[in-house]
Amino acid sequence: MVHRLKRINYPLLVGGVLLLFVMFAYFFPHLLTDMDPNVEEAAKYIEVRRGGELVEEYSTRPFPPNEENRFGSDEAGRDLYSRLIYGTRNTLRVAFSVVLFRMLIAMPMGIMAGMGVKTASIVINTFNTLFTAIPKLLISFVILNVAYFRNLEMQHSIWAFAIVLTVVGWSKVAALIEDQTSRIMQEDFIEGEIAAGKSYRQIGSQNLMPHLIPHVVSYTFMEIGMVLFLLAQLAVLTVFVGPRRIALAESFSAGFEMAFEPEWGSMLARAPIIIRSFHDRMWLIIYPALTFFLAITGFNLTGEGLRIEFQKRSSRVVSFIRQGFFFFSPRIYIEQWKNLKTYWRAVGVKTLGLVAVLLFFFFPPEPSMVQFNTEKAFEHLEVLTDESLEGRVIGFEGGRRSGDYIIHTLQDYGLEPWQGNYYHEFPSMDPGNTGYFERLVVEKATLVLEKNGIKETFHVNEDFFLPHLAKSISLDLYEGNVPEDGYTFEGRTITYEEDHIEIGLEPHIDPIPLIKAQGRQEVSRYFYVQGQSFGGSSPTELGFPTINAPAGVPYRLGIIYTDEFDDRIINTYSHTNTHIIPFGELREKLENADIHITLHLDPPKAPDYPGRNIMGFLPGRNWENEGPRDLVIIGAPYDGFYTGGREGFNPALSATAAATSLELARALSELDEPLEKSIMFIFFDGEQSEFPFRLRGSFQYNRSRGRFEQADFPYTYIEVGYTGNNQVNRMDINFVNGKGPGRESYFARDELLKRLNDLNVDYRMFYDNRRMTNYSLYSVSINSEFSMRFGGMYFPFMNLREDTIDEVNEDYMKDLGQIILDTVTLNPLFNGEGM
Amino acid sequence: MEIIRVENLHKKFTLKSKILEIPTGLVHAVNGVDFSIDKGKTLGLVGESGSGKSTTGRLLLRLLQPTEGRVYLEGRDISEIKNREFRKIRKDIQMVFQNPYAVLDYKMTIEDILTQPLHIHKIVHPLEYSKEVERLLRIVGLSKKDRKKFPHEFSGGQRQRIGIARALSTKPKFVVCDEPVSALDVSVQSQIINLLKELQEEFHLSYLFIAHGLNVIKHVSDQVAVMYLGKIVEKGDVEAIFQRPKHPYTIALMSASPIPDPEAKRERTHLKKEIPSALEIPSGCSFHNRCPKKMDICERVTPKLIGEGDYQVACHLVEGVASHGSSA
Repeated sequence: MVHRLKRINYPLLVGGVLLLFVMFAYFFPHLLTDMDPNVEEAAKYIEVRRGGELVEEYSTRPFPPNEENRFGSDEAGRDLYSRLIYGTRNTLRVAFSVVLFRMLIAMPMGIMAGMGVKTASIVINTFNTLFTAIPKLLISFVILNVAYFRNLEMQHSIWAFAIVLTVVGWSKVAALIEDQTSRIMQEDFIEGEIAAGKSYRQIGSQNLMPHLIPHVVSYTFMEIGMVLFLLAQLAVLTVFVGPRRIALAESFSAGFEMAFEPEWGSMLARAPIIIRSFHDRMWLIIYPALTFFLAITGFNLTGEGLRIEFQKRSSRVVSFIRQGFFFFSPRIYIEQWKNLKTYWRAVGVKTLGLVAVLLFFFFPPEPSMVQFNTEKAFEHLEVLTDESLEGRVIGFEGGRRSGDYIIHTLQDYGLEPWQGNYYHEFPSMDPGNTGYFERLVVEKATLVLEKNGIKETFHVNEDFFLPHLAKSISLDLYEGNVPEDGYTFEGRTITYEEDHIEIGLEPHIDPIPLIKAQGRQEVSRYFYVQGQSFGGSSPTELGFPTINAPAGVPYRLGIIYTDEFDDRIINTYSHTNTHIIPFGELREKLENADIHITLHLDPPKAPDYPGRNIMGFLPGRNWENEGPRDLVIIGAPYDGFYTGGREGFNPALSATAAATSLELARALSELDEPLEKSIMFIFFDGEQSEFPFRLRGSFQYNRSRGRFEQADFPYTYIEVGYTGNNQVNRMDINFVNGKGPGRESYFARDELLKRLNDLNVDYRMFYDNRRMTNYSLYSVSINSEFSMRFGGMYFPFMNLREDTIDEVNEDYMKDLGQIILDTVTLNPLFNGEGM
Repeated sequence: MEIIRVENLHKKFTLKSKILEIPTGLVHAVNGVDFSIDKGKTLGLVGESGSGKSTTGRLLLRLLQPTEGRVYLEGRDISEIKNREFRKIRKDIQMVFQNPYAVLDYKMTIEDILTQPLHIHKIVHPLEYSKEVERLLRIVGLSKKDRKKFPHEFSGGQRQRIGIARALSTKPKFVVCDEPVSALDVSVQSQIINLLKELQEEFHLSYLFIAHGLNVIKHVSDQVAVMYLGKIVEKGDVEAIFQRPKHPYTIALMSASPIPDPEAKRERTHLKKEIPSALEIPSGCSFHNRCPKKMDICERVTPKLIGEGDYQVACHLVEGVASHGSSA
C-alpha cells in the first residue's frame, strides 16, 4: 500500500482538481451561477446573518456577502461571484494568448539556439539581459497605461496585452528551452541518429521533440501561472483588459474608472483604495485575490505534475503521439485507399472521422425561421415618403394620414388591437411650464430689409431659415389669440462693440441687443436643431447666442450665422427667442450695421390633431395560459420632418424604422405556428421632437402604462432604429440592461452575438447605460427586463437633400430586419424556450 | 572487388584553452592511414586505447571530418561529397556502436527506432513498415513482441542485437563494428560475434571490425591491421599476422594475450614505459621509445608501410631483412 501511495503524482492531482474548476468556469459559467455579472443594483434589501440568524437589512452598494450575493457585490452593485465566474474567460484568454505567443517565439528560437545557431543564442541573451535590468512589471505598466491602450475594446485589448507581455517575457522561457535543447543534443544517441542518416531537422523533430516536450509542457503551465501573477500585479496598478467607463459621482466616490466586462484584474484595480477601509469592504479584495491564487497554484502544480509524469521512463505518450502522426498522415490515407481490400477498416474509420470534422466546422447556421422581405418594406417606405404627407409631422395632416396607413396595414396583417385600441392619443402641443420646443409649421414668412431708403424682401426657406419662434407665439396659438395679420418684428441693427449688432423691435419699443453669433465660436454644444440630441450622434453645428435676454422683453430676434444651410431642412420649433439663419445675399447684407429690418410672419400652423402611438398585438401561445405572460415589445418611430416648405427635399431615412417594423409585423404574423411569447408592435409618434421629452411618443407610452394596466406584464424591448444610407457600413446595436439582475441579459447578448456572426453582419455594439442612450430606448427600457436597439439613432445625412429613398441602404435594412426576426424567433430568451 | 579504400587519412584535433580559446596543443589522432577492404571480407583493426582506431571508424562514417585523406566507396570518391548527398550514402555505410544503450534514443520504442531508418531512406513502402520491423527482429534473434518495448527493458546483449538490427535496416553494404562486444559478458560476446558472422554471410556484408581484444579479432577477421598512435604499423592476412608477426609492437601484443591453457608455453615481451600521450608523439618511429629492438635510425626516420602484396609492415628492422627500398 505504501508503495502505491508513493506512486501517486500529488502535484498533478491537486493541480488537476484546481484546474478542473477553473476550466469549468471558463466553458460553462452559466452552470455555476444564475446572476448576471453586469447588472448593477444601487440599493436593495438583503438577507444577512447576524448572530446566527437571517436578518433583512437595507443596504446600498457595495453589498456585503448575503443570501443572494454569495461573495457580495462590487462598488457598482454587481454580483461579485458571478463576475468572477464570467470573468474567468476574459482573464484566462489574456493569459493563454500571452503564453501562446511567448511559446511561438521561444520554441523555435530556443531550439535553434540549442542546436547551434549562434544568432538565435545572441538574440535570446540580449533580451534576457535587457529585461533583467528593466523590470517587466514596470515596463508593461508604462506601455499599457497609455491612453490608447486603456480605451480599447475587449478583443483588441487582449491582443495589445498579449503582444506587450510577449515581447517583454519570451526570452526567459527561450533560455530555458535553449538549455534543455543543448543538453539533449549532447546525449550519445544523437550520434547514432546521425549515423542512421538523419538531417538536423529530422533529429530536431523526431528525437529532440519527444525529449523536449515534457519540459515544454511544464514550462507552459508555469508560464501561465506567472503571467496570471503579472496580470494581478498590473491590475493593482489599474492596468487591465477591457473597456472602461467613468463611474459618475452618483452615490459613492467620484470619478473613477470602472471596467465594464467582467474580468479578474479589473476587480483588483480598486484594491489600493479599498484597502484603506478594509474592514468594511473585505470581500472586495479577498475574493478576487483568492481566485487569482487558486488559478495560479492550479497551473503551477499541474505543470510540475506533468513534468514528473512525462519523465517516467515508461511513458508511452510519445510513442502514442508518433503513431498518431502515422494515423493522420494524408499520404498514408491515400495509400490505404489504393489498397482498399487490405485496409478497408482503417479507411472506413478515417473517412467517417473526416466527414464528422467537416460537418462540425462547415455546419451551416440554423436557418432563419422567417425571411425579411426588403421589397415589401420598401413598398411601405414609398407610401410613407409620399410628398403629400409633407414629412409626417406629428399632429398635422401628413402625420395623421401616415398613422392611419399604419393602422390599416396592421389590421390587414391580422394584428389585434391592444386592450381594445389600435392607438393611444396624447397632446401634440403642450405649452406646459415653459412652452419650449413644440413643432410648428411655418408656411410663410418674409423679411424686409431697408437700407438707405431701399427695401428688399426675402422669403423663408429661400433666403433664410426660421428655426425658432418665440414661445409667446406658440402660447398665442395654444390660447387661440393669434393676430390676423400675423407678427411683425421691426427694428434697426446697431453696432455694439465689434461682435454685436443691435436692433430694436416692435411693439415693445426700445432697442435691445441683437446678438450676432460668429460661426461656431460661442456654441452651446448640446443644443441642436434637428435629430436626436444624445449620445454619439453628430449634431448639426449651429452657433447660438449665449447671452440672455434683458428682462421684460418678449420679442427678440436672433440672427445665426453658420456655414451649412443650403442642403438641409430646418423645422420650426418654439423657443425663448426667435431666430433666423440667413444665407446667400441676405447674409452678406446683414453683416453690416444700421439696417432696418422688418420680419413679417403669417401665423404658423398649429397641429390639428393629437399625437398618436399606434399599437398592434400578436398574441403568442402564452397569452391564454396561466402562468407568466411576458411580452416582446417592438417599437419604431414613424414621424418625420416637415418638408412642405422646401422644394426638392424628400427625406426617406426617418421613415425607414416604421417601414421595417411593418414588414416585421407581416413576417411574424404569417408564421405557421405562433410563438411562445406575445409580441406588441408600437409605432411612436413625435420622436423627432427635441427635449424635454414631453411630446415624445415613447415618453408618453411609458407614462401611460399604468393606465393600460400593463404593469403586470414583464417585457423585453426591441427598438427598430433607422436604416443607414449607402455610406454607412456598420449597423449600430445598443444593448441596455433592464431592471432584473437575472442572468438572462448576458445570455441574450451572447446569443445575439453568435447570430450576428452567423449572418455575417457588420456591426458596432454599444452598452450605453440608460443615461447615455437615445431617449426612447431609455424611457421604455426602464421597466423592461432588458432592451436592444438595432439601427441608427441619427445619421448626419438625415433630412438633407441627399436623403432620398434611393440612398437608403437595402442591405442594412435587410440585416436589421433579419436579425430582429431571428432574435425573436430563434434566440431562446425571446422565443420562450429559455436557457 | 574493393568496397572501401582509404588513402592517407588524417585527423587532427586542436586543443583550445578555456579562456579565449587559444590553441594549446594538437592531437594527431589518425596519422596517415591507408587500407582497403574487399567485398564480403572483414578487416580487423586492433590497437590499444588511444591508438585512433575508433576515430578511424567514425571518420569513415563522417561522424568526424577528416583533416586530410580520401575515402572511396565502391570506387567512388566520397571524401568531398556535400552533407546532403552524403546522407543518402549513409544507407550503404552503417555502424554498430560500442555502447548500444547510449546510442539508442531511450524515449523511442524499438519499433520506432527500427522504423525511422526505413523511413528516411525509403527502404520499403510505408505500409510495409511493421512487417519489415518484424523481419529485422527475427534476423537478430529477438521476438516480434519486443516491438513496443523501450531500450531500457532489455539486457545488454539484447540491446546490442537491436543496434545491429538498426544498422542492418538500411540494407548496407559496409558496416563498421566499433568494439561491438567490449561492453558485454564473455558468454554473450560469442553469441553476438556469431550473429555478425552469420549476417555477413547471408547478406554479403563487409566489415571493418574494430577491437582491442585479439581473440575476437582472430575469430572474425579475414585481414588484420594493427594501429599504434594513429598509424598502421602492420597489416596482413589474419594467419600471417597471428602466426608470424613481424613488428615488435604486434609481437608484444600477441604475447600479452592470454591463452586459456596453463600448460602452454609463452614468451612474454615486456614493453618499457607506457604508451605516450598523443600530444607528444615521439619523432621518427612513434614506437621507438618502447621498442626492445630499437636502432639509431628509429629515432630519426619514420618507417613507411612496406610489403609484398597484402602484407605490409612499418619497421626499420623488417626493412633491413626484406631489402626493399631504403630509408632516407
